[in-house]
Amino acid sequence: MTGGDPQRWTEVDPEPSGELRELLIAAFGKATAEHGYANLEIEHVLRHAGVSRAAFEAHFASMEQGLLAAQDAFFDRLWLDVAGACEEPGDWPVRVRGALSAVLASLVEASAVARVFAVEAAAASLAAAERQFAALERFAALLREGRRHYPAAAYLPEATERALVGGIASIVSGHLLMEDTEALPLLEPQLVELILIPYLGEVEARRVARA
Amino acid sequence: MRSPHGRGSRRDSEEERERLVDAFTRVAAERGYAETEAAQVALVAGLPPSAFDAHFSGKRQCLLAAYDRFFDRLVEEIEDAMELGAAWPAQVKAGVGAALGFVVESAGPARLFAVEALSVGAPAVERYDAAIQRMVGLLRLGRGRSAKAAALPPLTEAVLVAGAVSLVTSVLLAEEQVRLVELEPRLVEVLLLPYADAGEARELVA
Repeated sequence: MTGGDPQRWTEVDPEPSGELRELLIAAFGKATAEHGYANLEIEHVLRHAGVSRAAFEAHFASMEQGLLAAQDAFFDRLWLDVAGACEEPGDWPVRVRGALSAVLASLVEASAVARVFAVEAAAASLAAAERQFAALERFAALLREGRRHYPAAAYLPEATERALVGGIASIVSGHLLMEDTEALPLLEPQLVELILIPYLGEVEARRVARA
Repeated sequence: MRSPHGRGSRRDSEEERERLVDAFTRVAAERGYAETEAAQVALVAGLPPSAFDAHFSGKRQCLLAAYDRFFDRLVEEIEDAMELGAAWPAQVKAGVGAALGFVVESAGPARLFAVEALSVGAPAVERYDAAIQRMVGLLRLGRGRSAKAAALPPLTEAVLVAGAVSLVTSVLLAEEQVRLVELEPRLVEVLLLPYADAGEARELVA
């Protein structure tokens, strides 16, 4: 539901509470993609959700709380993309390639939302920046599983995965902010190769990345 | 050339601008970019409010000038330190130490420029990329060390440098500057990993 009249819903909330919260979170995503993080006003969200201000306030104490919930939803979706790819059959390197491919595809598909929650939000809000770094830690922890698959990787520097994930996120963020998302799929083989080198070595990492 | 608000020479004008950039950096690092006002910046610089408008079209332009200066100094610190090292891995270690020393000394501005400055959009990203590319150039010198390193993907250094910056930024955000010192050996090891064998990197940071 988009473009509804907020006044219509002032008296009655026809949605069960959880669904309305989801509706508002989705509206935050659409409204921020349209107006940007810094320029967002509550009316933009209400218009996209088709709900009243009272309904909004029943779910979120502030705009920032709503924005953080929408940012969480964005990172949860990326996490599900990665988790889904990791559950596919195949060896660990092939699943890593699939996970990165899935993330890049999601970012390209929802580039406006991604730009807001992966880049603009962190610049505008300390809490959003902290969430972004927490998400990077989560992805790094998942990548660290590669150490179990490749015993020689047990001796890698402790910060290897966090540096790789942070570095790749930074490069992807730059493309999102410059609205140059068409280039992202082209970077995929290089990024896969870089992620796998510490575990597989240069030759095998290149083979998997280019297969 | 007279200063923009009517007195003095070109040098006076440049000094005024520098004072305004200094003051902006201090105010924005303390209050946050969004809460920084031109009049406050001029006051801290010891200049009349009109001075800010004479030098900058707005606080965004001043932020970008401060951003340029911060990263120029950071990269100069790294370059100077790397010139002193003998072998390339030792140069990397010296460069990382200099960068972290600079960031520890200017933690407030570093946090401002690493995170908040991106709120002004593309101009900040372009500057960030340019600074990263200067550091990338220094790290890329390691490719000459072996055939293995020469064949690394072109994005290797950009990912490594941006990854190191991301780690430093997360420590700054947590306001745990004391941890930056602990980060030094970990960053050196990670940056050397594609070029040196793990034993060599570990030996260097031990």
